[in-house]
Formats: sequence, C-alpha cells, structure tokens
Amino acid sequence: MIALIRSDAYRVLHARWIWAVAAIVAFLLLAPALMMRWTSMGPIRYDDLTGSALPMNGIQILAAAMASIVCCDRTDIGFARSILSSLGERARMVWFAEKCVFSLLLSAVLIVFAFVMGLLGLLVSGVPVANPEPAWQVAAWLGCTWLCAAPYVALTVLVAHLTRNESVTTVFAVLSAGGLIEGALLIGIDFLYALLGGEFLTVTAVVGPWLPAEIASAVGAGAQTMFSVDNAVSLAPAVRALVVCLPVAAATVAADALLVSRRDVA
Amino acid sequence: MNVIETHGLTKRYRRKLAVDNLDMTVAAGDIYGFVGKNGSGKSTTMKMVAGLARPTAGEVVLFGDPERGGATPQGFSRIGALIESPGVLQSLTARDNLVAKALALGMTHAGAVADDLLALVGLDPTDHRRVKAYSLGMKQRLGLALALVGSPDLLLLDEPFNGLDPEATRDMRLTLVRLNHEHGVTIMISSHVLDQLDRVATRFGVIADGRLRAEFTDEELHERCGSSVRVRLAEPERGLALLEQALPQATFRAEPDGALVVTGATLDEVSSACFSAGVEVRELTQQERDIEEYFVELMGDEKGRSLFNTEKDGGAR
Repeated sequence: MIALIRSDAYRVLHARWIWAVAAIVAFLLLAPALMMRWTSMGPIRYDDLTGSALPMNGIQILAAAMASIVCCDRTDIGFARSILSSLGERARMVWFAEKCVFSLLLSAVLIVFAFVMGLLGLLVSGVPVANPEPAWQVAAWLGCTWLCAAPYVALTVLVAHLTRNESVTTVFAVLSAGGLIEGALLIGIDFLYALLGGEFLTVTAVVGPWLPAEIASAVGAGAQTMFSVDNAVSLAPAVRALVVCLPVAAATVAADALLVSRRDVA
Repeated sequence: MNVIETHGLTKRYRRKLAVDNLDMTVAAGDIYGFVGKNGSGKSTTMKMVAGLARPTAGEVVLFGDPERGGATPQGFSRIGALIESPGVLQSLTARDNLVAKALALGMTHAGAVADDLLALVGLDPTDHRRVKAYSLGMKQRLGLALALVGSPDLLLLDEPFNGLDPEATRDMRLTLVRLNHEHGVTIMISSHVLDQLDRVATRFGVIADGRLRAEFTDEELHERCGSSVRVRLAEPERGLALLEQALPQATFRAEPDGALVVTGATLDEVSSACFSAGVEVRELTQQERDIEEYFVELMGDEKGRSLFNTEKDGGAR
C-alpha cells in the first residue's frame, strides 16, 4: 500500500494539473483578500474563523473532482493494466483500496492547503477576527470538513473503477459532491411516497438532515454550529458526520477493494 | 518447465464466446508467436494469462504453480505485459512513467531502474518532453520498458510492432531477441505482422474464433511451408493412384480445379513419375507456399487474407 501511495504521489506531483488546481485555489482565496486590502472594501471584521473568515463551502466538489482526475487520467487504465499485471492476486485488492486511500489523503491535503491559503488571505486582507475559535475547534472543524468530503471522494473512485469513463466520473463527482444526486433521489422517493398516498416531502423532512450534503452544509457554517445540537435530530452535525460519512466512506472503500477488484480490467 | 499452461480456458462476454476451451503451452525460453485475426481471442487470452481478466472456465497455470502463479514472496507476479496499448501516462515524461511504476512495485532505486530500461529500449533518459509529444513508435518502446520494470520472467506483448517504422520494428525485434537470449525471458507475442513474427518466434500458436487451431515450432512451420509441385493431369484419379505408388514419401493435396499439389518431391521427380506411369500432364509448375497463406489457411477462411493484406499496405511492417 505504501509503495502504491508513493507511486501515485510521484505521478500526481509530476503532473501539471495538480499545480493548476493549487494555483486556482490560491488565486480564489488570495485575490479577494488583496482586493479588500487595496480597495478597503469588504467586511470591517469577521465574527469567527471557521464560520465567516475561512469559508470551505464547495471544497467537497473540488476534492471529488480531483479524485476523478487521479483515477481517470486519460490513459490511466493502460498504465493501471501495466501495474496490475505485475501485481499478484492479493495485491490487486490493495491496489483498488489504495486508489481510495490516496484520493482521501489528497482531499485532506487540499483542505489543509485551502485552510493555509485562507489564513494567508486573512493576514493579507488585514480584516480582524472578533472571536477566533480555539485551535482544537479549528482542527476538529477541518477534520469534519474532510469527513464530509470523504464519501464523495470514495464514491467517485468507485464510479471511476466501475465505469472507466472520465466524463461520467467527472460529472458524477460534481453532481454528487454538489448534493444534487442525493437531493434528486430523495425528491424521487418523496414523489413515489406521495403517489402511494403519503404526504409530499415527508421523507425529505425525516431523512434530509442525515444526508451528507446537509451535514456538510451544517459543518460549513462553522465550528460553533458543528458542535451545536440540532433540534430536529438532537445530534450535532459533527456527530452526524461521524455516524453517516465515516461508514459510507468505509463501505465504499471496502466495496471497491473487495468487489470491484474482482472485475476484469478492460 | 512450462511457463504458461492453459487447460480448457474459456471466456464468455455475455453472448459472445471470446475464448473457447483453449489448451496452450508455452515453455521456458520460448518466443511464442500468437497469431489470429482481429477478434479471434488473442488479447482476451493474454489478459487472462496476465490476470487482468477472469476465465469463465478452465485455468491458467503459470510457472508450474497452480496456487500462486509463481508470484514472488512480496506478492508481485513474474509477468510484464503490454496489452492493447502502450499504457503510458501522457502528462508525464518517459522517465517519470517508469519511476512511477518502479515505485509502485516497491523498488528503492527507481530512478536508476528507469534510466537502465530507457537505455535498453533506445529512449533518451534525459528527454524532458512529455509522453504525449512522442510518436507511436516511441510510446511502444516505452510500453515495452514499462513491461520490463521488475525484471519479469514472462513478457506478454500484444501487437508490439503496431505503428512502428521499419527501423523501429527491427530495433524492437532485436531487443526482444536479446531479452530472450541474454536474460532468459520467455516472451509471448501476438501480432498480425507475420514476417516479423516469423523472424523472432520459436513456436507458434494459431487461434481462430477463440479456439487454438494449431501449435508448432519454427522448424515445423518452415517444413510445412516448403516448396511443392502443382501438377494437373488428364486423368486425375488414375494419375493420383500412380503417383502415390511412385512417390511414397510425398504427400498429395487436391485443389478445387482438379490439380494436385505434391509436397515432399521435386519437380523432376514428379515429372519423371508421370512420364514413367504414362500419365498425360497438362500443367506442371513449382510453387512456394507462403507463410502468410499457410496461417490464413489455418485460421480457416479467406477473410483473413484481406486482413493481412491491409496490414501490409498500411505500412504496419
């Protein structure tokens, strides 16, 4: 596993796209800060770090899109074929699991990078933070943000291995991490429920707070919100992330390693 | 020792039977030419041997070890494969491609391994161009180098001569022969380019419609493709009986137009035998049997001929 991770890290670091992504993230976080500094426009102060000063909304989409690039490099299947033919039967399973683990590690790096760039932007902008959270809360918030991205990243890798199609995988990554697929599914179920005589949106009301997109949105609101108990389900978003996102990501990695690895390599 | 043995190897994709009950043997040290038309099951067979596809039925025994396929204690297989496409990462340099694979196989001196292999296949280790700027021939060489990472004992090459110019084809051929002779690598090559295959292969397997039609050595091939005599007689049936008596060492084959093709006898011998037997001869010609023609014949139909002609005309040689 370590050897495969080293190999993937090498090929990703030697590819151009990763540096393009880094440049875009840095630009998106630093450019507004510079604008604020030069034009003296924007907020006078931020209430807190995680809720307002360092927004991480949409980071799941970028993490999932990166996973699709890692697993669907245009001729990757040919390169994968070359590696898989040199691996024994058991090592094949490890190879599939490693793709998920590597993509999850990459998303963690992305989140940390975005956080550092955000902090840098905050310093550049010169906008003060009224009530910065303690370090442990910020760390927990970053961990939860990663946890919320994890199911989408793992599912994207699974879809990449199932479809072996770059376009399908990328579209899936963006739609799923944007919460559109789970939202559409839920509405569909609600519609069927209504057809069967139930009240429309009943299912959404019950299941909605447990959807990864909903949890990610609550976590994105900041560390304070993340730890506050939601009245509707009586569980903090951080706990819901542990209860929902962790098992979904783990199950997806297991399915990829145990089931998808048994498929023929095209 | 047999490096590859397949027993009743079968692969079915939904309704299509890609490989049908294939029994094949590749011995250690062979350069095995695997010949067949497009869609005959060559690539599928190679994928099953490489462990990239699971057989629907039957088994592949590698290195005489049915359990672990001769895998190393670290779990790596002893196979290097170049199947269907060079399988290179276009956005990296050739060296980076090789380093990435060497790292994946847990090699410590990945850079040195990459440089050695690039030199072996005739690519420049200091070339900083990304692979997408390479010609198809250079990509094929890189594909071969990738297959060689880990010093495999068995090399599976699917159409390695595709897209190569004559010089590159010769280089590839010589590299394969060197790997076989100097490093003892057993090589299985599938190809349409029969004249190249004929120059390197020591054994051949012919596959058609997923079935192995024949296996023979290089010597057997050249015996079978030696010269023959075509003779058209006024009384073919009587003439055949008399010639069989006069030339017991020869073999006879009737052609659709009634002519006989005699192998194992010279033109003079056939001529004398006809004269002695008092058989009227209407046509008597010496003919060479083309290797390509022989393979097409083995593959069972005339459609194959057009395939090979296309390959030739397309400059694949």
